[in-house]
Amino acid sequence: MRRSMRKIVLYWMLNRVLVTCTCFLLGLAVWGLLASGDVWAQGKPARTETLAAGPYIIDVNLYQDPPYTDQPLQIGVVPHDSTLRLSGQIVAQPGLGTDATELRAKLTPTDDGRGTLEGTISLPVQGAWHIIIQLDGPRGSGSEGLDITVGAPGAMPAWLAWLIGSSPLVGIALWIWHQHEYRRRLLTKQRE
Amino acid sequence: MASSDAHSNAYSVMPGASGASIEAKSALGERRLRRISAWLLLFFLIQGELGAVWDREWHAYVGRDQFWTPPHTLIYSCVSGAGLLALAIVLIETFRYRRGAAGVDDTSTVSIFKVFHAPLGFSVLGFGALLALIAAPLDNYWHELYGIDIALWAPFHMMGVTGGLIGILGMIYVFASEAAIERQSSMHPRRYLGLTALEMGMILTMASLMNFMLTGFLQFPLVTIGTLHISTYPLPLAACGAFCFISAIRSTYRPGVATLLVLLLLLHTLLVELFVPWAIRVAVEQQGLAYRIPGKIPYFSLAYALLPLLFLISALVVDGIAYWKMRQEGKPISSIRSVAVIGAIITPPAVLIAPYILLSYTQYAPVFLPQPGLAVTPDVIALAALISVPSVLLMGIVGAMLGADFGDIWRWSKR
Repeated sequence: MRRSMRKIVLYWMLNRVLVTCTCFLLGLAVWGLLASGDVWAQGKPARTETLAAGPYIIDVNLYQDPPYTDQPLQIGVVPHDSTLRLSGQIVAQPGLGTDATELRAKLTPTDDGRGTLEGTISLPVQGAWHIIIQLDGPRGSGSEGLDITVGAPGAMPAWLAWLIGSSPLVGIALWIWHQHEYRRRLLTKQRE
Repeated sequence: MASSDAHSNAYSVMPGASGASIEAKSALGERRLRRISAWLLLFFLIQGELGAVWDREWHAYVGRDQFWTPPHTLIYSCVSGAGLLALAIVLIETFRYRRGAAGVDDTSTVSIFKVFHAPLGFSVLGFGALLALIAAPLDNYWHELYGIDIALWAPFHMMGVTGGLIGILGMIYVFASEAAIERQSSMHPRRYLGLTALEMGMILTMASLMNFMLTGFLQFPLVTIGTLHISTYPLPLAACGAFCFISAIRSTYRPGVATLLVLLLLLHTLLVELFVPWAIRVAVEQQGLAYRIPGKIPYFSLAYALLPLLFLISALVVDGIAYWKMRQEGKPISSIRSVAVIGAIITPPAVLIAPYILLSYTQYAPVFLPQPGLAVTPDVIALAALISVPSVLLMGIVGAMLGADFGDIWRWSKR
């Protein structure tokens, strides 16, 4: 009697844990989807910097400032001399304290008649980055950079992250216990 | 319950009378559905573990430049594929259960939330895949905050790894339940090296589980005692080795299967090591990427490919004892006490051989790592040994005992 009661309680607990875990995980998935909504600016540049990339005077347009992690940062390069036909690339170097690798993206010409180049780059880690514009054209090559700070979603406290990350272990512990009982029943059945 | 038994026995009914023939056909269809799914899952698993090793090396040689790196694509297509397949099987089986189809009853399925009815393995696997998929965006979020080099011991890495582990265990259940149904039926399937194809699938999945452990075991943290660092990688090594060897023996009753497991694992690591450095070199060239450390380019590592050999002596010991027990008692390693003793016996060879194989592969190969420039006194070494030896033996014992539990379930459970 006591044994079957214990079994019922165990099943009830396991069922509750499974339902709670599933609801929790689905909730997390929904939160993850909502949290990754697009927020970049459209149309007008959010920041413009005038730079001298070797022999070329250019306006560098950032269409999002500050840019966000893992969202495509659109960069426009407008030469002051619109007759120039330039090509080049964007190089993103992680700044001090930013643990990431160097990234590159191509600049492609647009048809606006002003010799504008455009490119997009996604920066995967928050913090300081140095964006370098490397250009090639009739006057040779040149490069110049500007500093940006990449933003990220608000930091979750470490204890909460560990609580979420290790929550499946509770399920595993209960699962092992459940399987231990299941094995006992199976072997009893085999002996019969 | 009577109808349940009739259903479960349908697989052994030979086509003859029309009613029995239809039922047998339906049961055969059920078997085919689960077995094709099992082999598809194994394919996904091999794909995923290839992706996992590739990802580890990609981090080391190239760096995590974005979420959708080629190895991540391989991993997450595997997780999604396996998860969707498990979901499909759960829905199909629920439908067939409610229709009362032959071969789908309470003896071959479990109830999930009192709504669904599906084989235990697919349910466990689905839960593991869901967990791994949920961990992915959270892990990406953690990388966005703290950079690309956060180690394995990050909360959402652990969540993903746990999901992977649950998924692999689920796959073993899938193969094992089909092998149990086959064993208890009147069928006499062809055997390869003494094992049926389904048992071979189960052993291959166990080899994948061991490979999964080898993918991350060197990322385990260091424990510091005085001036001495202690590597904790022997702990998962001992637990996983003992778990897989004992469960393989207990689920198949075939001495020799532990050694076969090591040889299959060797084949895994060899193929993975042939593929991964080549794949990184090709991807770097094609995508115009740069290596993190200029000039540090990945090439085939014999040390990594031969890593499974560290388990060879342990496997031979398990097989030898199982053979002896089979001859004596007709059952391999039956009492829990002998399982625990075997767990303790097979741990030292693996743990002692590992550093020698790993020596040319990593600077963290030795278990005891003195801090550079600092003297290590004998009492520190004694204390370190006093803590680490029982810990690693305990892991071996616990692994073996869990292996015995799961091995018995995998032998007998038809769910």
